[in-house]
Amino acid sequence: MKIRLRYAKGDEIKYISHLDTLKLFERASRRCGLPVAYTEGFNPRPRFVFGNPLPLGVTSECEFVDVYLDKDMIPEEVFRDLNSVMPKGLRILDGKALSANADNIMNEVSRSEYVVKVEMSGDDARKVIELYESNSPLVIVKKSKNREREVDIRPMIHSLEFNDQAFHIITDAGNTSNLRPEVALIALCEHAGVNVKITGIHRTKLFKVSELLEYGKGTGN
Amino acid sequence: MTYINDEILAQVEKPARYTGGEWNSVVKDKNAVDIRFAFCFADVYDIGMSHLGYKLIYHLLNDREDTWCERVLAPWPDLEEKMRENNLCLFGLESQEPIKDFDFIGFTLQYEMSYTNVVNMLDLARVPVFSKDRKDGDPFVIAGGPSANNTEVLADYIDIFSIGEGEEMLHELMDVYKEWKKSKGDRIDFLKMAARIDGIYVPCFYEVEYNEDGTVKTHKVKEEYKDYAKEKVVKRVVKDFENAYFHDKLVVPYVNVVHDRIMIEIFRGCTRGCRFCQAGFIYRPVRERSVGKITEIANKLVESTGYEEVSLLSLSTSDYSSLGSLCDELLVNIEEKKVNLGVPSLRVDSFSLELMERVSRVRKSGLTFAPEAGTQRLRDVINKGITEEDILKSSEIAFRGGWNNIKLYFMLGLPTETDEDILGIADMAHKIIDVYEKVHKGRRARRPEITVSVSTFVPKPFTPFQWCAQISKEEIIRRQNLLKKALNRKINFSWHDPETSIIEAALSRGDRRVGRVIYNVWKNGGRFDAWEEYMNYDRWIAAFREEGLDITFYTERERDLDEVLPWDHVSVGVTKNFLKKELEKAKRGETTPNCMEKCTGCGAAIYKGGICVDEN
Repeated sequence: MKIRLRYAKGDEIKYISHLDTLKLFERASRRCGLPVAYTEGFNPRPRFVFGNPLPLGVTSECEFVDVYLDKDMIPEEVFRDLNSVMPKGLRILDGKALSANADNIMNEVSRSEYVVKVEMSGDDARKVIELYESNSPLVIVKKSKNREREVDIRPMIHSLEFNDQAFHIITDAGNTSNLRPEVALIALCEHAGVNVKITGIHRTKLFKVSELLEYGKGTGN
Repeated sequence: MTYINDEILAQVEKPARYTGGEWNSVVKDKNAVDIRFAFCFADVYDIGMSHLGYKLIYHLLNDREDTWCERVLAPWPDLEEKMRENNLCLFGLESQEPIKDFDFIGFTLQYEMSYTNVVNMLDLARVPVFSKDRKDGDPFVIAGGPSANNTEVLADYIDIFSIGEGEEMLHELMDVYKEWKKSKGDRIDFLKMAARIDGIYVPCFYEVEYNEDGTVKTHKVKEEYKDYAKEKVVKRVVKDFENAYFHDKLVVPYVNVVHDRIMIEIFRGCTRGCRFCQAGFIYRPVRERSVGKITEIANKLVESTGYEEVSLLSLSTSDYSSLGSLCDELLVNIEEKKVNLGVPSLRVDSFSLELMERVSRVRKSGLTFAPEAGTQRLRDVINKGITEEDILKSSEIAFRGGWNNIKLYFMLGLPTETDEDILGIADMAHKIIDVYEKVHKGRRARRPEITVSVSTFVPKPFTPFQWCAQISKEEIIRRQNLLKKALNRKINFSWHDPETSIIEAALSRGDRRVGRVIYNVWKNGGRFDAWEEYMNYDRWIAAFREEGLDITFYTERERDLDEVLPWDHVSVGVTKNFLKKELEKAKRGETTPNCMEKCTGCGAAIYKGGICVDEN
């Protein structure tokens, strides 16, 4: 069977990379005796499919992983068992059973929402929001291995608000287009002629491709 | 909260090295313990967290209710720079608090090239780096581990050395410390109490006089400490290894480290007695754990860590008395949990190949042999009980079994080595290629991958070669080139940087005066000297010169057999007399049987443990 778990990554483990988080799940599953299914072949691997990687240093309350099990279990049992062997900072929040042919989490997500804490005056923040609302192109230089190219990232940003010393921002996230929130924000601030110091980034929601429905809370139902 | 803030962590490589919180790491209430122990490994997290002994002592100390032991690893230079810019000091991973107010700062000394990091870590901790400058209220700096057996090079920095195996000794030391704390005594009182424990050496209780030629004249207890300190400090061993402490938990790092798996020591010591090998002498006597015990440990650790691999650890795994049944037993237990079994460094014969195929999913590549020397004459000199016939036969078995990749380890500069011995290395490698061609005659086969890897011989204390000279840098390079030219181009050749081996040799057999050189190198920016990209040979050479010492006195000088060696006040069980006899036999090209065949009276029997008392 296939179960989709939603988990939170707290401050304690925000420097654990995507790949190391995968290893953490493998080992935690063995510690609690979860009957994870393994891939066939010479070097069998446990079958986990993780969602969009979370950048290093970012916390989150909406990370997803699809787990394949050899035995049927109720989702509550799975996340309770896992939580008993997870280090501080990693908490499974809920889980739901998926049909066998459900698409993988990796292919389902297209946008995510972040809260980016900053040190900035209200006036400066207003300038940034104004620039965002003007819809003018936001060109940055993207460096890849051997070349640099200019990209307009404005179409990849879908919402920007400021309150409580934090920007709430929605950007592209997923296999086809991906924009890191700090890259978006730094570009906006630069273009607005405003200094910014980012003091924390937290992912709050993921959105589905097809419906662009809120995909965060309530997946356990 | 992490001690290093997010702004800095975001700018350094692998920040998770510094944030702690790993599964099975131990967090206690600092107000509920009597002793806070900062356990330092003088290298980066990735190396320290790969070391079994480091984890073992960590859990051993934390199993005491009265003690909180924390891990402290050397910050990588990128973080050190930020720490110094921001006036931050060295901290414990568990509490994320500075260690300068802890009761103990302990180092495990695994490698001489990490000594500049020891000094650097003390300085970063804001603890006086020299023992003589520490006052009441400062932590006690203690050190153990294999390199601690030559106590003298770090004698000015370390308050207390523990010689030999720490499992029992550390408990005694902690108990004595609590007693001292209750008595509200002075700093020196604790050192006196500690010095009475077997295996403990307090360097400031001794004085050294030198002869005019620079050799040690005497090393003796100062008059005022005669009642406390011992003339001869005898290494501690855990007599009953079967029931010796073993942690049933193990910190599981988040980030990739070099050896990221369960490691279980299946026996301690080595029966072999290769004359260049320090481990072969200092860990005597050989003591085995039973199949049942090892399986029990493996089961507990798989459950508590979730690791995907169990690896057997020892100095020579093939010598374990019932390796086949051990592996069978382990596999029955761990295979259903999808855990692999790794068996490193086996001598190659048909039995072990079959075993390796059975136990681990190794790709059919990468078998290693360590003949160490190129001719039978020189292999007899070093007492390496392996013949060319053994190696060719093993290669043939390996090639027939589908392997095509063989790595051969050799040492250059062994005592009595001639050019003929060096050419013998090439000869052996070529014969292995011939064997490959013979095995695959008339068939299309992959190209054989034969690698010859050479290191430079470093004479070590407590070995029969402790009196021998190391060859000069020019000579090392000449011999490397001689070999390079002699090798068929089909063979891969790799060699160690001779400069590191020279500094390692000077530090390994150094005396108290060499401590000044380490300080000088550190002052001039020396850090992470075990890392080729940071080691600066010229800085070391300059430091020796500035401190008025001749490095060749330590490296290229053959010692007189009657000379007082800087480490003569330490006994590892094996007697100096035995080592002398071994050196003489080496010079005559005579071999010595291993402990399984016959007892040769090395001296380790004083411990009345392991193979020395086993019936057979």
